[in-house]
Amino acid sequence: MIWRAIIFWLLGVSLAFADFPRHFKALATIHVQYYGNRNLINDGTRSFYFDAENQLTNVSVVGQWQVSFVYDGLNRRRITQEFTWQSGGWLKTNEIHYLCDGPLVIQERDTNNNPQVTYTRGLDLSLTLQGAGGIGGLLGRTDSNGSTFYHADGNGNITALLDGYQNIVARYRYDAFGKLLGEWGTNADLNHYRFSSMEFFSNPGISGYPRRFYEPNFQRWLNRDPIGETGGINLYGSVGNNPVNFVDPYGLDPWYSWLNPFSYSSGYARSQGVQALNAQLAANDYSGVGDFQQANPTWNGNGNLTAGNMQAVQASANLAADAANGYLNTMQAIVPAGVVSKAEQAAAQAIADANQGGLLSKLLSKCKSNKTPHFHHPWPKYLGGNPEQILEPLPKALHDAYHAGLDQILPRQPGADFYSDLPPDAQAQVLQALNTYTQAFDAQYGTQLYNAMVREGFPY
Amino acid sequence: MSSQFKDVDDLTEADLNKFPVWEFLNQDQKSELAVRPVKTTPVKNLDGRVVGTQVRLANGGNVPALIGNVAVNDPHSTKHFLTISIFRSGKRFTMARYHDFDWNRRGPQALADFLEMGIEDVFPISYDLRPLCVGDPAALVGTIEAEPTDKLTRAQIIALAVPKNHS
Repeated sequence: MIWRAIIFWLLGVSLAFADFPRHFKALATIHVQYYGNRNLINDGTRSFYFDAENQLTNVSVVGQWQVSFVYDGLNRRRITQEFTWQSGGWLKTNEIHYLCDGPLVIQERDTNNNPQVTYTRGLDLSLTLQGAGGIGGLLGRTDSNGSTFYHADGNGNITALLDGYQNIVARYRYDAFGKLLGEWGTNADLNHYRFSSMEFFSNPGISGYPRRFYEPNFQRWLNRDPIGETGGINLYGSVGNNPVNFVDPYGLDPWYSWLNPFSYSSGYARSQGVQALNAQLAANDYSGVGDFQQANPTWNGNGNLTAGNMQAVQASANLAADAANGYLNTMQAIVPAGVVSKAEQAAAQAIADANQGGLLSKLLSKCKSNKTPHFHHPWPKYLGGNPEQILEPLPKALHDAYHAGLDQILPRQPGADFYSDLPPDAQAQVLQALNTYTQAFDAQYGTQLYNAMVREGFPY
Repeated sequence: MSSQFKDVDDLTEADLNKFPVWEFLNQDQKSELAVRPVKTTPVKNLDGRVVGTQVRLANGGNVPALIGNVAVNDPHSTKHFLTISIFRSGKRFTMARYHDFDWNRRGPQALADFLEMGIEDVFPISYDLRPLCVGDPAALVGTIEAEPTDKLTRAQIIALAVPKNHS
């Protein structure tokens, strides 16, 4: 056994089921061989071939049959070709072209682009059209012989098809992991959508999920999870070995539970939100949330000191949102919009969770009121403006920018007394500088600060 | 107003020893001059902030100073807009830059007079903000000359002062 293990190790990664303890020996002895990116390439009978994107492109048994898959740029399976070995060569026996709506197949066509089978879909387990990858959403199958209608169990496994007269024309039973235990009916072989509402390929004996193929006899995927350990530490494991309670719409995340859509990676999103917030605080020189809260008081409409500086609030919230959006973008790249909408809710929940410390919940509530502008003295008081002015509403960022620029030419550092004590000729120069700068600022940002200054009695 | 908040012209050496970096609140309803301490250093930006630090005079002596208008990644802007106030015996003198309206009255000679030194003993003044701030060393480390080697026109100064991006 040792030398054989060494050979398999040299070829890739091997699991020799025959070496398992005695109580597993009732199972068939199967040697599985992995290679390259740890994709299954051989199980002793079938050979599997993957492309550079780790997509299964071909399954074959030497001298018997092979099935080939062609994908589009969105990782969707668009063509399936079937061959048999005849007279010393491969003979193509079937070719299916798929028409998709998002990730879901809605029609099968032949090589001449003639519709062969049309699928009617409704709400899936997510109670949306595609949120659960179409699992449990198949309604009807229409071909040249008419329409038949799908029935599924609570996990979206196709259990039967009925014709227009309510006759059962196909019936399927599976074990918990999707292995077909039996099929009955005249249309049982015609229909390919079976366990988890996914297309089943009879010769290879595998189910085609949008991003991976599942081997129900092995109870695992053929290759590693495209999203890595985000989907769980077992990169080949399916739904956490809990297929009764969980499904996997895309072959990505084995822990997704459509019983609770908000559970989709919410822990991950939550940690992202917290990390983003901490990064934002650190970037703004705060050691933590408490430091931020203590260091950023502001005044409410009644003139009372309250916690939370609007600019920092907005910046922190923006960064948390950026992290959530980054997460969502990642999800967007690998799954369709239905799941992203769920992930978006999870991310929003994550941010809310991150805010539970007190400060961050205030951040969000304050961000809601961020449309409330900050108020600016059109003619700064320290540069001679009247004590009582009609304050000019200005976005906080613009307000800060205005003062930062003005500080360059008329710094606040010397204080108000310095400017008020200047002789008239010097004051005139100050006002001229203020005039020039403010008009230049208006021109840059489309504000009306100069007009507001004139309104307040500015003499230039 | 909390004791943590002060008008910028009320900052003392003790305040700056406790918290070297202060930032403007821009809360016009209360005070346009109000600043608050930044409690964690080094900081990563100095926009709207002033920094208390020791600067070295030409004669080798160190004096406490308050520096403002440092753009941590823009040496050009910093060179033309940097402000410096020097503390001495509880008083503070803010020097005018070459483009300020009172350059003649509050310029380098006035600072030397405030320090009761000759101008050659004061300038160039060296500063190094790297212990307090992370950024381009060309902006954070420099000298302030009595007579700048290159000067911008008034129009160029205004154009440079207007922020190009407020986000």
